[in-house]
Amino acid sequence: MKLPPLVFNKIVKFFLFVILEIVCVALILNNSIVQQYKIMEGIRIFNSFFWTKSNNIKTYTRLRTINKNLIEENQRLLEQNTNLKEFISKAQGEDRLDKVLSIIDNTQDSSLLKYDFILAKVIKNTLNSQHNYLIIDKGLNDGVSEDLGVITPSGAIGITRGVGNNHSYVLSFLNEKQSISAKIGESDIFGTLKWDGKDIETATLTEIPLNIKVKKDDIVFTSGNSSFFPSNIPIGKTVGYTISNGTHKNVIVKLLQDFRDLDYVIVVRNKAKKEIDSLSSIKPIGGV
Amino acid sequence: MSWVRYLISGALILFVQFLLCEFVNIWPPLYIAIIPIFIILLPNELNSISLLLLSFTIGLLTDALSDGILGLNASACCAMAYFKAPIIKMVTKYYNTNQPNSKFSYLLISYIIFFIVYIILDGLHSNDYLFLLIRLAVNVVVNVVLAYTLERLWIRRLFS
Repeated sequence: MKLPPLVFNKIVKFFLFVILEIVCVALILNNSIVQQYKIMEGIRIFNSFFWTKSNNIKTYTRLRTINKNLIEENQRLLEQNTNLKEFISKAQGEDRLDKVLSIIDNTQDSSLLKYDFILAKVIKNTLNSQHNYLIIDKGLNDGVSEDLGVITPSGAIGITRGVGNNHSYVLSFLNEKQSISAKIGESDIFGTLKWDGKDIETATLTEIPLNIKVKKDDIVFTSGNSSFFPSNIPIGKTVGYTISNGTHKNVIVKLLQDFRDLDYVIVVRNKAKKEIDSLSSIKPIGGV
Repeated sequence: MSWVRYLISGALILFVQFLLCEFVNIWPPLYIAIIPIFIILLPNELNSISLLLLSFTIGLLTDALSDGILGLNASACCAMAYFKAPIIKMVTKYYNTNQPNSKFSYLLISYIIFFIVYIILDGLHSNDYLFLLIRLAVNVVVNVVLAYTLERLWIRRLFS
């Protein structure tokens, strides 16, 4: 039986549509942004031309803000330094201080420091989707590798996921796939801080037990429970909370870092990361 | 209708889409999409297989240039192309003509289809259905207004 051309066309059209949709869904599910970063190197040469030009213009027009941020950061460090000097002068001669000073002396030997910090310039920073990312101007040649934390003095920014010779791809905290282990104040109660995809200024700290009191403007810090970020880096301030399923609190956090103002970031290299990762990969022996 | 004109307008729309993705940051869930305009502009007598393949290609190019998720725009463009003929049949009596498709309802339905597919695939991990609905509504309203204005001001002149 021969099908009429119109019906035949409709069937072909339908099957082609289904095939194309399957291809698209497969691409979406299998090609993460990170893999895509590596696949699309060719097109990136075209893109990077625009990124560099537009970034130069943006940086130039934002010099006033950058200077202001630097002055504020300088002032904060000066205050911290003055307070520390005062503390030292008051506590001179005490055993506890001597111990602290000996630790400080020891850490002058850089081999004893736990982290290396690499300053990098942000070349591209997306803010207009649910899957945001950054491109920074440091790569393998500068000692950057995959899975390193990226911070600023005002917070955790993301994690390096793809590294080229001179550039790195950072999965931004403003990405639905990204989460950070964080704690409220100096407490040891930590939860998972995740962006909700709606507002670039707020995130949600989940899994906080009901008995933990949450006050407005409490500072949220990195917990240090991962090898990505050092502990006690301030991330944000608590704004309020909701109770989820009657079992735990979801704390709304206003982020300290304005992601629109990202010009320079610091890549944190944990010297013990390889050791931690190799230990994490050991499978537990059963029957013990 | 000259194919060169379609080629130029396609390249131009693709370039503007790239610039929009690069520089326009209004609200993270809002996606300004002008690429559907290209599919709307393609002649109605173009056979459906070519229309699907062209839409897939331009969607994939948009994904690649905007450094987004590969397949996201391509999938939404394919869905829009697949339903192009039935929508035109539904909203206009002038199917199979070369006239620019300026009917507001045509734009609206096309954009609704585009964003239903786009938002579902983009929000695969999300179970906040209310937010997805709000996102759909905001995206459709903003983009239809923009596309309608563009079509009135510029594209109609280009194709008249």
